[in-house]
Amino acid sequence: MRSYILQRFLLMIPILIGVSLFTFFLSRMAPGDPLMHYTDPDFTQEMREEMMEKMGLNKPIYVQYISWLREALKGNLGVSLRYRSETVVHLIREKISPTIALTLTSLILAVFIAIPIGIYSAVKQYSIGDYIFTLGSFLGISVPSFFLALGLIYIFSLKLRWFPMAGMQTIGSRGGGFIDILRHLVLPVTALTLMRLAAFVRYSRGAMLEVISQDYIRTARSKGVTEKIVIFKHALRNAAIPIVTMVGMSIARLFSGALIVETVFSWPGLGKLSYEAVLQRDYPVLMGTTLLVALMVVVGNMVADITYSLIDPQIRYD
Amino acid sequence: MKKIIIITMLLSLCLMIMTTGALAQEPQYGGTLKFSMYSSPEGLWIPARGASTYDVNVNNMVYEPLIQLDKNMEPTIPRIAESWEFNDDKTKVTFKLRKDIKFHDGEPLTARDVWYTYTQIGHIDYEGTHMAYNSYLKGFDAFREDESQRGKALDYEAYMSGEEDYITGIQVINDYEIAFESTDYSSRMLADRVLGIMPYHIWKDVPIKNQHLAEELEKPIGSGPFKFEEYARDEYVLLTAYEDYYLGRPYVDELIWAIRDQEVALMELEVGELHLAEFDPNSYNLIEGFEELDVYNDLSPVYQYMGFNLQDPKLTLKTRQAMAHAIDRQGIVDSALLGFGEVVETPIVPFHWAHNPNLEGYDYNPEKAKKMLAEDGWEMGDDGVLTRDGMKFRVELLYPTGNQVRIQSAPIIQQNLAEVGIDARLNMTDWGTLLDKTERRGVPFNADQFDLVLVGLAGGVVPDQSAKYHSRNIPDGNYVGYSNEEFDKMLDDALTEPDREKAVKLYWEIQEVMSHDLPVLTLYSPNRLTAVSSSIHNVRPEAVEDNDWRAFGLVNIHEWWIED
Amino acid sequence: MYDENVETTKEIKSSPGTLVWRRFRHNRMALIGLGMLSIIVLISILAPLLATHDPNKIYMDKFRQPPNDEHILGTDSLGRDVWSRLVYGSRVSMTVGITAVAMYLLIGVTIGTLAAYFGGVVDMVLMRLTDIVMSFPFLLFALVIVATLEGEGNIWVVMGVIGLLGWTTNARLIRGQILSLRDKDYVQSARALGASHFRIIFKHLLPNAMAPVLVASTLSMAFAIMTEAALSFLGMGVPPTMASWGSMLSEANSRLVMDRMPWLWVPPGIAVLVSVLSINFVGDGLRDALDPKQKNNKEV
Repeated sequence: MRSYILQRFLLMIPILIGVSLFTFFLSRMAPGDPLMHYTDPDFTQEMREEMMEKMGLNKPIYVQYISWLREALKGNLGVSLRYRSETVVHLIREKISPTIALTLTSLILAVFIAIPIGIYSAVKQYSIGDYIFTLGSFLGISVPSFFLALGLIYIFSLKLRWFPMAGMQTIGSRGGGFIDILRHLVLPVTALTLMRLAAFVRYSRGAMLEVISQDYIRTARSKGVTEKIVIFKHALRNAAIPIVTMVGMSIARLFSGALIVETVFSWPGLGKLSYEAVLQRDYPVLMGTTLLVALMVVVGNMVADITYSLIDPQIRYD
Repeated sequence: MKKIIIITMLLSLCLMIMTTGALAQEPQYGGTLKFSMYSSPEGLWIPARGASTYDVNVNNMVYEPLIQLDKNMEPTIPRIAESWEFNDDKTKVTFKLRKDIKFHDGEPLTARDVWYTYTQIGHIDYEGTHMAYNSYLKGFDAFREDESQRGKALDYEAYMSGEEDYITGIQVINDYEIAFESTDYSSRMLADRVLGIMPYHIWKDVPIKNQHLAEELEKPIGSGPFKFEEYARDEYVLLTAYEDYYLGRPYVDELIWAIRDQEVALMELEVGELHLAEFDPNSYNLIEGFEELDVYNDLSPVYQYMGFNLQDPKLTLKTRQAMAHAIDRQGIVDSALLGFGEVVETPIVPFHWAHNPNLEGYDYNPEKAKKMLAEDGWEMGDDGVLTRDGMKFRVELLYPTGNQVRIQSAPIIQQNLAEVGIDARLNMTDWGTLLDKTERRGVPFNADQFDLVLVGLAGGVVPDQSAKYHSRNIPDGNYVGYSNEEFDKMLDDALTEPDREKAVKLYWEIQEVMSHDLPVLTLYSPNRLTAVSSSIHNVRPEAVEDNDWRAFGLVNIHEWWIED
Repeated sequence: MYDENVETTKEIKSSPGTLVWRRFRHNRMALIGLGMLSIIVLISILAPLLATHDPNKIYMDKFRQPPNDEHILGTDSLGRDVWSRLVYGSRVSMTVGITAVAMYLLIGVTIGTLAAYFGGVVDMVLMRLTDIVMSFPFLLFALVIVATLEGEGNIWVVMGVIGLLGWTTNARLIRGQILSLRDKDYVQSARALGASHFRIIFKHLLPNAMAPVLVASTLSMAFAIMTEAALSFLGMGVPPTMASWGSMLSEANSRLVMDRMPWLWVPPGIAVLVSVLSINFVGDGLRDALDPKQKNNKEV
């Protein structure tokens, strides 16, 4: 087991290099450059080239990649081409906590709301309750996320005035304070949770259904084990595998979902940073955020894989 | 109280008198002004380098310029410079500075700071977009290539002792006098002196190369009406009133720019969380219903146009003129813009001093268009598409994502063209892809890259059109490939004509030629719609900002006050 | 336990497609789903007959009109007939949705199964590939593919992009499932009896591992429809004039529309919801019908 974990850790290196290589070349292949938004006619072609040179962007791509890699190994991910005054490391450090606060809260909420609903739907398959939850969860994914976020603001901020509309803290109050931030967190977290909820409900329902029909459950039932114990001890334990897989995988998805939520709610997080990095061709930031996502995906999947073997002793890693 | 103030640049003055007269009340001190912008500033608080409009919003509040543009886009309003005069052949302008201006840290602002602000533009390590602001000055080219400057900061003492020349065309006469000298007359000379002045004593030790990484950027010092307090990226910029502002302390205590999604900004405006936000015509019906808001409807210098690929054998002169008649530009203004804008016949916007109001232009007349196309050799095919010399009139209309109204206008243009037998395929791409197809860098120009392109531009303070239509700029800025020797000469003459009346005449002729030759068809200029909370007084939207007057006029921001 | 399983497998073998259909038929919701889906497919085929107007015709004087006699679902922000666009939009959305789901299934199931079944180096390589694809910046990838293939406005390129990047969920899900089944007794015994890899995978593993994958795939249809809209919105999708439900929804992205012009977003919203729901019910029904143990379960 320990050697397996070690092996997985070592394997992260080629993955990260693979992702960085792909992203680096892809981003340079994409049409446009970091200066493309300077449309002032006074900014001539000559000046443009001069500036590209100063930014080190006119060397051959492989040379650029090697020097990027050399610096990256030292922990220096370069300076943002959009926020010229900030290093990539600084930007990521600045944005990571708001994003984690947002995504982690949503993830936990979604899991803890979705699993009971999933179990209920599975146990009472084809009941009225099952249909209501099914319909409800699909409403969640059929509504564009932008609409969902805007709708929440419309109802809870504009009409009911329960929560602030946007931002992470009351401006001017300086520092915000825990309660203040919490109040600002409610709506974005609700939006993000609703966006993920449907998928989680469906997965856990599917997984439970699968397990309930297994022989050992029937055996347990026939042996007179109470329904509660059957569901929570036997079934849930086995349904946990696809549920864990799903949670492990949703880390990457959560980040892309965070993008819309962060934009609408002016939540200063990573999703928006990486999205704008693509649109603005901010190569260093793009590399930094992609690597970060890759790292989390790899770790998330690794944790999921290891959890399998803890839940189901039959799976061995040799 | 439902009050919609519709102000145009032309009517603004008399309306101003009426509204201020009606609201004659004692101004109150205190309160926080809350504005919104849609994207986060780059955080490059260095006016001399040029940055996004969002940065300019903030820089305009923190830094004070030498002079400022008036509503006809002429640099006539004194700010730091109390007066200026030209020499006889207008190649040199000498500014006299006010003596009562202090930076936010208490240091007086002198010619040294003006010298510093402008001299950095052209330094070998300069990474900015304002190179053109100095390019005609004496000694600029030599300075720009001066390798010995690499990695260095500017040294005022060395300059004053004659040890270093820097740009010989920037001459400090004494603490409160500075002159700019050009090699030939340039009509830009004055208009380019609108950058915010940076403090030399703060920046003197920072090499130009490292400016963007300097910790001085965390809390930049200027001499404008507001002091920089705090910037939280993607959240807000917080400014506080500058007690010793030379035009008087601002009435409000704080000014906040919140970074907000446009839709959310409108909702915050509705509940009074924000005081000012720009919006697009589609939201007008919504805003109109809010009682606590005044809506300002101003002309803007932005115009949208359709560029023709002039290398394309299909797009001959008469055909282009016919297409101009075929496109219902007024219809686009009435429908997509809901009337908030106007059709323009020239890239020089209507309120500019060089604008030619007498152009005949092209009215919407599909019958005339069909006739002209027939005269130009096009014959209608069985499939409803025109044919000439065995070539079908099929074109691609390329346009970028982003601007909603432009995106809406493309299918209208497509339908208009189809009505006269031109088959236009729409191609919406992201901005980078569009640039690659039009201003493709370093690749020889050819007819296949694009046919028609829809883009927008903000008309310049300087009416010069060389960057886009002078033949020497093919294929970069002049990507449509317009080549007309006579026209080139007119452009050159107009730019170096010191006499204003003669210059106006030249620009009128230039616009006539462009309107006839149609290297591009200008479509419309959208109005700028701004909603301002009714509790804010002394708002003067017509005042024009400095180097970026796309922003709502906040020039008299120190006079704005909030009614409880 | 061992005997029981062999029996069930035998039963499946002895009754092919008809049995699946018979089971499927008993699931009311699945039938309703199938019915709705057929209606939507029919609508998209018959679009020219059902549309009352040319879906792209702009009526310059009729911008954003509420539903009326002439335009039964009103007009959009360019004066185009909403009903006709909705009808034609079904073509794009259904094609994108179904193709994407098919690609997710095909690529994801293949990779996940191979990885889990063969394990070792195969597993390592395939799963690392999945990790890499999973952490790609989607937008950047789409941008480059669309630009290099000059694929702006080409619906097949768009579907390819969506399909190529979305299969990772399925791959990981099915791998997890198969990993847990691989060492189960009945699989071991089948292997001991000399069953081929092919047979073990298709007869013993896949049918038992498909449940979460079907769930994931049917869910991803909505995702694909929305992604198409988002890409079109960013200039990387289908031609701007081509109506699709996703683009109709994303064009309606404003408070004004949400508040005052429900005819612009409710119809495409319902269309997406209904088709996603139908697909899911069909998916549920299919899963139950394919599941060899389901019949026994019903008796409990």
